Amino acid sequence: MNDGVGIGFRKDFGSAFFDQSVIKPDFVELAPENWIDVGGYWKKQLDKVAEQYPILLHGLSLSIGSPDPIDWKFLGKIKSFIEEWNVPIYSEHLSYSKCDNAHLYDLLPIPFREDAVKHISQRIKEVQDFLGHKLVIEIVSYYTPVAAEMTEVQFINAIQSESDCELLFDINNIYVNGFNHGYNPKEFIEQLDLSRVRYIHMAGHEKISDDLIIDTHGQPIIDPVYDLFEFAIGKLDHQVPILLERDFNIPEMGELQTELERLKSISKRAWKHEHHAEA
Amino acid sequence: MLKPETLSQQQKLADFCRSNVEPELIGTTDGRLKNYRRLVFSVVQDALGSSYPLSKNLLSTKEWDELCFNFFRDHRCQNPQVWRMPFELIDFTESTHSSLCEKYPWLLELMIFEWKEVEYYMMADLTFPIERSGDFWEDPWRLNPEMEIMALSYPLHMKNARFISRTDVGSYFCIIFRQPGTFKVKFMNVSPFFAWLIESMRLEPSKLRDLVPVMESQFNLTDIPAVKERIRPFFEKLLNEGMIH
Ligand SMILES: [Fe+2]
Repeated sequence: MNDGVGIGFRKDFGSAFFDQSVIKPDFVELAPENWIDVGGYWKKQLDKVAEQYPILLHGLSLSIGSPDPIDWKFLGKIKSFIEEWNVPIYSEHLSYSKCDNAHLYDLLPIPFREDAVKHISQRIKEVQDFLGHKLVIEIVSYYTPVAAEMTEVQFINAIQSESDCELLFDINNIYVNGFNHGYNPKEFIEQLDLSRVRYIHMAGHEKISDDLIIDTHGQPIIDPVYDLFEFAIGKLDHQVPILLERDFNIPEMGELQTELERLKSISKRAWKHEHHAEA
Repeated sequence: MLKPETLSQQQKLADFCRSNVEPELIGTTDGRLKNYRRLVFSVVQDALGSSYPLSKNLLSTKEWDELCFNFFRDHRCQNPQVWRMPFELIDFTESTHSSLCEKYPWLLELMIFEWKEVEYYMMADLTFPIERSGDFWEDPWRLNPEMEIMALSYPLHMKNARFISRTDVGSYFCIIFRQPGTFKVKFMNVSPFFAWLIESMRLEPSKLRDLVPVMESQFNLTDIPAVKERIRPFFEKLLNEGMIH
């Protein structure tokens, strides 16, 4: 799968999600943790989703940046899920959510350090070997650096080249990080190896004070993030699927469809240009 | 290999998220760390509260908040699936909060009862037996595999947990099952006699006719025609609910 605009499927979307006259994404993204070994009503809903749309996976529990060992048993379940549902992209977060043998169920920032680069790159390679394909790693939003000895972009670039992974480009996260840490998101994007971008996320956020945005996925995407999106895809020399994330404060499905259409028209415009340029 | 300092920075941040004791970390932005504790702990509180609404309601706000706080600080959550994590609260409560368990002697049973509902609602589909056709007494009945009988000391399935008292202690039986088609999880109060009957059928598909002599001896029943009169409507109800085939 190389293009299209999809949506992160939430259980609270309700039955309106299945009315294709109201909302019609090109694919849906699921968190495998919410669906693995689940039966009954939700299994029926999963079947229904899979009947209508291709499924992509975005994991929550891999904890690739953790000091703890990887949970191979659970990753095995994810692998089976990928095979069962014919999933073309499995992505995860460049963060950690487990430490000292305790799950934390949220994404903590990793120290931007050389030893962490080595540690994480090695783990990504092991995961890729196990899955038999590249891992797509998301640049996460974070609210404070911890014990950093290099910049965020140096950290990400080093992991990418050392592990040969692919990149999930979350434009909202880059915007949020730029705001929270006082850097220019466009300059940040220009310093990344964009040939590795495999997938894009777009979302809304919440500004809770003059100097802090929390990445809630609970609001519509704001215009400056659309602008950054347009800038970013203008820099890509290949098409990738684009996802709208909306996890809380779920509006009418029609509103989400409007956001999907806006994303689609921006990407079409950008990628049409590119096509002409190539021709 | 992570250097000891990098490792300890990661551990301190994680520990702060669990304990809410502000750590000494290198190079953090002023005032930002607290967001991590807040975000992490609210996920945990939401998961616990939505799995145990009745237990939460039974305890005082202070008791419930303290239980959640201590659980996340002292227990190492093991399940990578956040919706399965609340199951771990039951053992934690039993092993570390004996005074709560003494104050509310039905608390642990209530938590197990509430967890069963989550578990049955979410559990992977089991293979159902093929539809039965045959004689009511002469052919074996098969149970819906998505069911079990709970033996309870308090009438949690019949009474609001807040109004239960020590005097309610007794011997209760309740069937919990996921209803085919609707996928709803239902509870049904049953007498010890019917609990026994269903449990016998659960152990192996049985003909009712073969069970009759056992009923006579086990329950000291003499008026078998009257027993048969009671069994028929009960089984019809089970059939209607999709609990037997
Ligand atoms: Fe994202």
